[in-house]
Amino acid sequence: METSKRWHTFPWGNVLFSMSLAAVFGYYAHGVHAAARGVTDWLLILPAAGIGITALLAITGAKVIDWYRQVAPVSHHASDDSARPALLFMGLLALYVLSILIIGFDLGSFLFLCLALYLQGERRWWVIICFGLLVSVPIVVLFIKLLGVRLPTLLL
Amino acid sequence: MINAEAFNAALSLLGNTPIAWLVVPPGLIIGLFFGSIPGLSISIAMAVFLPATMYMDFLPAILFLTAIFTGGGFGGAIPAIMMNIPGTSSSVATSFDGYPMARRGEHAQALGIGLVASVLGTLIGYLLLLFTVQSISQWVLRLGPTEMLVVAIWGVTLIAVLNDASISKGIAAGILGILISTIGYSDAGQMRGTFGSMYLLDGIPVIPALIGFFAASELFNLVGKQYIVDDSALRVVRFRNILLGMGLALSKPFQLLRGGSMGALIGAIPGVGASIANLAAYATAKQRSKDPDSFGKGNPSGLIAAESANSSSEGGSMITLLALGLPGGAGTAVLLGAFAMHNVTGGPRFIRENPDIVYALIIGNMAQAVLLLIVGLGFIFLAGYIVKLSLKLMIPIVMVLSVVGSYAITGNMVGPITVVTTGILGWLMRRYGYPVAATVVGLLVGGMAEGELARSMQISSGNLGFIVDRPITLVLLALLLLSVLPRVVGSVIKRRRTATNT
Repeated sequence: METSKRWHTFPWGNVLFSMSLAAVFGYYAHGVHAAARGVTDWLLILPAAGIGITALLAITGAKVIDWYRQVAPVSHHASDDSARPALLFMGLLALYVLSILIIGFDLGSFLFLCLALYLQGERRWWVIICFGLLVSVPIVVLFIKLLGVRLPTLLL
Repeated sequence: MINAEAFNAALSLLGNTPIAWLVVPPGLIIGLFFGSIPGLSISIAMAVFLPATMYMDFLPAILFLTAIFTGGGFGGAIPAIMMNIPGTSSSVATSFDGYPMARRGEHAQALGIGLVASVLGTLIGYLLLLFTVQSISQWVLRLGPTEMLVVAIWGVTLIAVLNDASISKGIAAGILGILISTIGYSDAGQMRGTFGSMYLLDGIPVIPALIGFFAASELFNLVGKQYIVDDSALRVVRFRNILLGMGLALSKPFQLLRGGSMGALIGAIPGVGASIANLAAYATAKQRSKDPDSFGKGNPSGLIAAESANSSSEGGSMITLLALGLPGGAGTAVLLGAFAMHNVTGGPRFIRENPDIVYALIIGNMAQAVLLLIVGLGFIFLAGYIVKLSLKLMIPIVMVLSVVGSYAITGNMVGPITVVTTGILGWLMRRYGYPVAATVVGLLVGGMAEGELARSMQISSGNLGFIVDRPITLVLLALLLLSVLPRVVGSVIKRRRTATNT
């Protein structure tokens, strides 16, 4: 029981993030070195990745030692709850960007704005639609007509 | 130091060219507008309005473009202070203390401080240019690749080490930025980290990445909150508070002068410019402060250092543009384009043959700085109302602007995808205590560091002893070590004490 409680406070997120970054650094440096045409291709990358991996291992080691010594016991329950709206918003933003090439900036921005407002608690449908229209149309028109940017659009 | 005859000729030239004055206020407003919208940079504004100068004479054309430059320099501070979104890469350090001030309800003061620091910074930069334009061109030529490499490393190390997170996290974050900056085609023609995508051949676009790391990651954290400033009593924009902030900045003339001088000197180094100047000045201000822990939590001195440095670097970058014909950054590159459009080539010969025009440009830009005080005051009074906007509405609006703006910059989906990817990465970094600022600085100077490292190796044939014969490199290295060592030693002692106590 005691052991399970102790493992519950292990800084999983922090350790996994550091180790993932270290793995990405290593993978990138190895890939560049393997395909290099000359020294200049990896001259900065290899030493930088080496220093970065060392720093990340030091961070992981320090976190594990701190956890073992219980220097900074952490409970993740509160922060996990606060992360939920952020994660949902990230997902919505990713969907918006991925859909742009299919439905264009005009419809994509309108839908994103409406859904983002809904996600943040707004339930009056007319407010949601008016907001979506009043923001998306001027922005898209400003960029296309005034700044001459060729945005992919579906309706405008 | 000053050619009196040419100086008088410049004054009469400016007096007899009223159009040169008429184009300045619209230029300032355009710069303020573009600088204050995340995703639209000063260089975009200057490039968009470059064709408009085709039918102007050389002097009004350059003054119009430099007015956009000056206005944009301060414009970038507005979203940095109000939303933690540096409108331009030169406003990165502005957000460090400007945004915490805004969240405390001191947004009006912060904007006032930023305006005065910008105006005086610009004046300092051009004053230095006025006195040194003849001689500084000689000095700049002495900086070789090893010196530039140390400057680039200094930029990353300072921000990686002098942050509130652990030194290891700062270094890892800085290196992440450097590695991201190497994605794309290398000088030798190797594709690095592109996964075979032709869209990544030019690398990760810097401005969308900057928007993602700073803006998107912060906006994700704000989802669910109602306003930037939680207390409704503090969400008031008072003209008096803006004036108070201006007074506060004026009460710290030494800090203004230090930031301004550093900005002008760093801005004069080609390829470095305002992006590094504001960070270096910020780090120096933090290091010299009696209360360094308050930096990053809303210390006005940090804001003064960052804004005075990025504004004065404009004058510094004009030194290399006028004296050497080299652009210090994207903004001066557009100015160089305007020079070419009017059949003018910058360089020592231009200075020697047209001293009156050179002085007219300098005096005109100093007058612009004074005008910025008036135009900027009205602009920030309106911009101050951003805190009254509900975050529920503002977050989606800023996100759409960032996505559309990043598409405008890259012309394809790489921009928006970069915003989302770096936004998520930045959010994770913030969550686990990594300083995203270090990543952004690494991203900004990584390309330069790689190029200068390759050139240094080629010149020295791989012999490290080469730097012993380069006194400027040695001085810069000594300064780097001196600025970093106290924090490293302090951190080691702190960790040992914690370990002993447990």
